[in-house]
Amino acid sequence: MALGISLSIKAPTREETDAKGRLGRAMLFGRRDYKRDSFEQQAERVFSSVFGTALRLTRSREEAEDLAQEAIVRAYEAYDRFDGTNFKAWILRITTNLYINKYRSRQRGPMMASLEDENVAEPMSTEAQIPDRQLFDGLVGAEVEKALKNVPEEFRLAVILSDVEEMSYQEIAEATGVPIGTVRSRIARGRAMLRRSLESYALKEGFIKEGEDL
Amino acid sequence: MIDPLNLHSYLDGELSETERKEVEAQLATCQASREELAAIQSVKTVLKGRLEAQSCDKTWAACQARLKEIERVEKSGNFVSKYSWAFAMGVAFVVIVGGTLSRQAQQSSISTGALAGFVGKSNRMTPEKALSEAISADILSKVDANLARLQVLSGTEVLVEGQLATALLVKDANGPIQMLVFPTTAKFENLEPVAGTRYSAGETSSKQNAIAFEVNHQSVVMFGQRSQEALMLSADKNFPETK
Repeated sequence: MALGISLSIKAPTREETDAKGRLGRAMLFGRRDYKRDSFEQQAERVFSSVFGTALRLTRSREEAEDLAQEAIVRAYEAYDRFDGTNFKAWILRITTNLYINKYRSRQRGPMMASLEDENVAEPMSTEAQIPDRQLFDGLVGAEVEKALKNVPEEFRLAVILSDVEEMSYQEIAEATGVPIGTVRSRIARGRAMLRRSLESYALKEGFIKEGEDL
Repeated sequence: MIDPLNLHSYLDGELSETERKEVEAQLATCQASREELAAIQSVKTVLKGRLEAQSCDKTWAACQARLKEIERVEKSGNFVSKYSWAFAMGVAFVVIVGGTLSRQAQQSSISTGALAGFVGKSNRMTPEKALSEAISADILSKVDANLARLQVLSGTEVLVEGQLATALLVKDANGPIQMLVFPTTAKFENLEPVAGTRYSAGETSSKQNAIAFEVNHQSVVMFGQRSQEALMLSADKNFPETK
């Protein structure tokens, strides 16, 4: 009539809890304060990158605020699965994926998918009389932002992650879910497009300034 | 002229040592490549130098507020309703891995039909309210629980060597307690009777304090991060001894 039970109670391992659901070990054992503190410390350090990337992707402050917030919340929920290596690359990957899956459909404008991935790049230097370095001297941040907006999304994203966020090709490949060779060509072509866009702003700017001087 | 892709990779520090030296040797002899390199560098410089950090303090503050709110919800029962399935599995895992059990079957006062109904609901991730109702109706009422004092966070049926039991995660003013309710009288090998009380007490292999007692011919095990005395106190309040 008696049940003989030997109570041997063991905490589920990380893999087991993760496999069962999105329940990390920390949550089971009441270390939630620790989790939020630790997450916030890291997230605060990279938040300007998250927000800047969101802004340059969505091209709208309002959408960028939504995207950045949602990315932070998603990252927090997935924090138990963060492998502890590169927090910034990890959170930018979440931001980028979120944008691609959710926000991009709202965006207007042509997608340049058909043009890409040939793994080649045209030379971008021209026979211009004025070197770009001088030409771009007069540009201010707002003009650079505008020039960036003209670059199609995939290329813009690759260039931002490389030149603004200083991520490696490997990290960008992971963040955007494309092969490293594609990242390489997107960066090259993105910079070429940006350069043309910057030149037109610089020339316009130069023209206006010359006009004012006269 | 050097392949422009290689010039981009060169400036990005993405070439191997050998490739890098090769590019540098070619640059020394090729004017067009040097111009291309300068053009690429100018774009990189503009991007790095001219883009201003966008003010985002307000957005960060909003993020912090949301994280805090998430944490608050996680701490309350709502969290569990969202993750009730996962929570239940956590508890179930504990038990299934745990027990070595030899038993003689005994009819319990909880019908397996009632349990099955409850389990069916919990497996479909029933919202917490329905889950609590199911638990309170089918399980806890039969062990004379004082539900007003206990918040049921999650529950599931577990099978211990063919014996149905109910694993519950409940919460009182002092925090969470895990419970196993066996619809039979059960004896637990590593829990020793506490003189002068209805309880047996001991600890689990993970050093959590555990107590066991019987109510209405059912066995209840409670364990959690609190002293045995505190567990007994909670049991006194929530599962008053039947006269």
